Amino acid sequence: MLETLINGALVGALYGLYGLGLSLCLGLMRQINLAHGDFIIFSAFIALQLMTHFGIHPLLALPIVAPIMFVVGWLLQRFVMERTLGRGEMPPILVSFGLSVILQNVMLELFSADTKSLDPGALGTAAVNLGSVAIGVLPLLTLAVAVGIFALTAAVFGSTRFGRAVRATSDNEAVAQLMGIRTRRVFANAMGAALAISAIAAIFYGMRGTFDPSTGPERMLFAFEAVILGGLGSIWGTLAGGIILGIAQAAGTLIIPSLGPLVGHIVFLIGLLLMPGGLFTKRIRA
Amino acid sequence: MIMASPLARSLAAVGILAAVLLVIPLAGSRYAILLTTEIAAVLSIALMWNLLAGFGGIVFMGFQVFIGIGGYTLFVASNGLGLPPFPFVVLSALVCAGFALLITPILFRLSGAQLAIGSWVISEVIRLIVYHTSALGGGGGMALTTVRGIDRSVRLFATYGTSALVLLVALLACIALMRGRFGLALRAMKDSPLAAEAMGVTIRKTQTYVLLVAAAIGGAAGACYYMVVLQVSPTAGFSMNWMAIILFAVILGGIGTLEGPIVGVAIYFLLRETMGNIGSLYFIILGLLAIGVMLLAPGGAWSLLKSVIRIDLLPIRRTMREAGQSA
Amino acid sequence: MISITDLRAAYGPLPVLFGLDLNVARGETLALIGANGAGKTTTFAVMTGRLKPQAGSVSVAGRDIAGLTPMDIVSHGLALVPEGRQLFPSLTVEENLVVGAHSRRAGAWHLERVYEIFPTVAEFRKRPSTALSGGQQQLVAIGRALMSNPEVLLCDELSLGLSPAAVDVVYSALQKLRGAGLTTVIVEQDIARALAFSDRFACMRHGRIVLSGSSTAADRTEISNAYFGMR
Repeated sequence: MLETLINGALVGALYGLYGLGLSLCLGLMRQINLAHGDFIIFSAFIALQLMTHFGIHPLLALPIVAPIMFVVGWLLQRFVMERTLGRGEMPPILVSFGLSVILQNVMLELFSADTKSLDPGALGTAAVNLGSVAIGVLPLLTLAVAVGIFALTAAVFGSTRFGRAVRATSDNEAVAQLMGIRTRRVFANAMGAALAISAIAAIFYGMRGTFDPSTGPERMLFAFEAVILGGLGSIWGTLAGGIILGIAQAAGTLIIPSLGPLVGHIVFLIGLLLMPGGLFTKRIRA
Repeated sequence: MIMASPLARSLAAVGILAAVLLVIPLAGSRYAILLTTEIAAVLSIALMWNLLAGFGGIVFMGFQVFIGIGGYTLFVASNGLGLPPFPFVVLSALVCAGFALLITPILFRLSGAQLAIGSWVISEVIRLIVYHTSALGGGGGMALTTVRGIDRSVRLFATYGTSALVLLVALLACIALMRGRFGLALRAMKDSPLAAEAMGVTIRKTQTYVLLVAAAIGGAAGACYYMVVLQVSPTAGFSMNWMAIILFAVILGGIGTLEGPIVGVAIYFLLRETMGNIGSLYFIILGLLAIGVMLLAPGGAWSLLKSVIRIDLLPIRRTMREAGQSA
Repeated sequence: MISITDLRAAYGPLPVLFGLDLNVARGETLALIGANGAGKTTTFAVMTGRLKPQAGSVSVAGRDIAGLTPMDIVSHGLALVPEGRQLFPSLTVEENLVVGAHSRRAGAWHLERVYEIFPTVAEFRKRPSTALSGGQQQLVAIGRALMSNPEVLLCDELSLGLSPAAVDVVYSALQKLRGAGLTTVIVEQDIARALAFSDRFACMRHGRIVLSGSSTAADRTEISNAYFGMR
């Protein structure tokens, strides 16, 4: 049982990574993207194409897919999401939902509904023994990468000129412009970063499990739950939220193997009831 | 154009629709009647979602939870008691309203986009619970067994009649809520919660009320839909496809107006009947249309139509009467 | 330094400025006064690039800035202290100041110099900007504007929402800037305060300048008449 829960926590690191991209959108930019999960799947399919055509290992596809998705995110923000701002909360929700449907069906047309995965080779079966439990090397690597990305993101958005610009823009776009911040460019870059992070998450997701064009929305729900549990506006909170979610789901599988997501959802709803601000409430609004 | 009062014009339009609904079973083919039953159910659902989102400002992305609960309630009650299903739409409505009341504490912890996704989570929870409940047929779902004893024609007309009735109730509910003091309160609330609060409108109570109405009628419509299909399953009843249909219809038609969903549902079914068998390409086109409309013509097809024809068929806007004009 | 000629501007279909003419000499402090709705904030909006004018010109140090984006205008040396302070709540006091220097315009202003002029702000440097009192926030807002090394400083309603004591603190802090060579325009509801602080004044009514002159030689009756539109 301990092994299941530890593995759950490690999966949670992956959920945290899903959530990080969404946290940047929702928490930092205060913008929703319902197609978030579908972009993760899309990244996985791109990686798969690279692997099939060039015979490379998924981890080698990572430095190619991430920049591609950065550009996709940049264009998405600059030419689509940008136009939905300033008209209330519905347009971004509806437009990103439309995007979600389009993406899923485009992937369906291009890649069929068959489940796929990214073969990690020997990395997938390697394991280390920590006391009485055997932990996979891949999950541990996922955790390490996740922590690294979280640290990088926290540093960039907390201490750099760019990070300040993003936070200022999301607080007050008009005054941010008065500071000389090119707000459109800043948000486009932030969105690019969010999608690039999601691409990295996608590769680790593809290496440990299967995916198909319809699995996007569920990733988005997990991402969302990680963000809200951790506290909107807190970057590290998303990692904590993801890990909690992972453990909750793992506990669910101990009851019935397919019960994982349901228990995760229920824990999320309970968490929402008891701690509406999440674990690390941080957002100060004007 | 006749200068009747807006309320009279709304009721007249509903009257015309009722007349149309009356004619179809008398003159139409079996296929036409079935299609109209389906359209009526989908339109009721779209109207209710529009009521919640367009006027109430609650974007409920998990609306299919009420459709599924409505369907399952009808099936369970009808099969369980061995009685014809038709009157049980009322039970579906009540159960859905009850469920809506139950989830309000959690739901209202969130707002805006988070509420949208939160409602989606709630829908997923119910879907998964139903999926894992063998008494409800698990993943395979349930069949409506009690219709087997009913004559085909009777079944056809009874289902049609129930669905048509639900649609009329939906329309009248929308008009009544939107035209009255209530409707003003809703719109004020949507435009500025702070201002609405200052005017003495209790936001929570108003939102809850709208949610209950939308859930009830949405659930009843869902029950009607699955009475036609005769099968309900967690994958179908709680599917995100419902949201896709609702959103496309409402966006294409025009959010926030009464006529919008009507136009939108009409467009949706027109497209479906003419090109429904090209598979995923159909959804891609719908998606592109929806995004295009949201970005370029956010008022939807109805606002485009209105700017050409210049009338409000089912007007819900209040205008100041000029001096000397009678009510 | 600042030259505004026949400026006309509107918010959608609602015209606000009807041919504004205004000149501010280099190093001068001008007080822009007028009743609500006279068009003072609109003038600032055009000058900072928030609003595109319909006609007329605005030039700063000979460069025409009308119609440029706010970002470009900052790099031309114009900085605004917005009405209501409008500090960034997600940023600390220090971060608010640093973000003011985002445009990387060259000049003598830097963080330590701002802290020298406003020592009370230095105490709060690591705190979230929302933790400060209104008066303190006003100092931070001024500091933030200074960090962009402006040649022209626009101050919109500095005294709004502050206690008289806090306003005293703000204006005495602003006094320290007098020798720095900045051209300053202040929009101020408190006429006495405005006249005491400025070299010259301009009174607006219905989107036009109706009276202007030296602040020290200002005739109170004349100003009230101009302000309220009485003969």
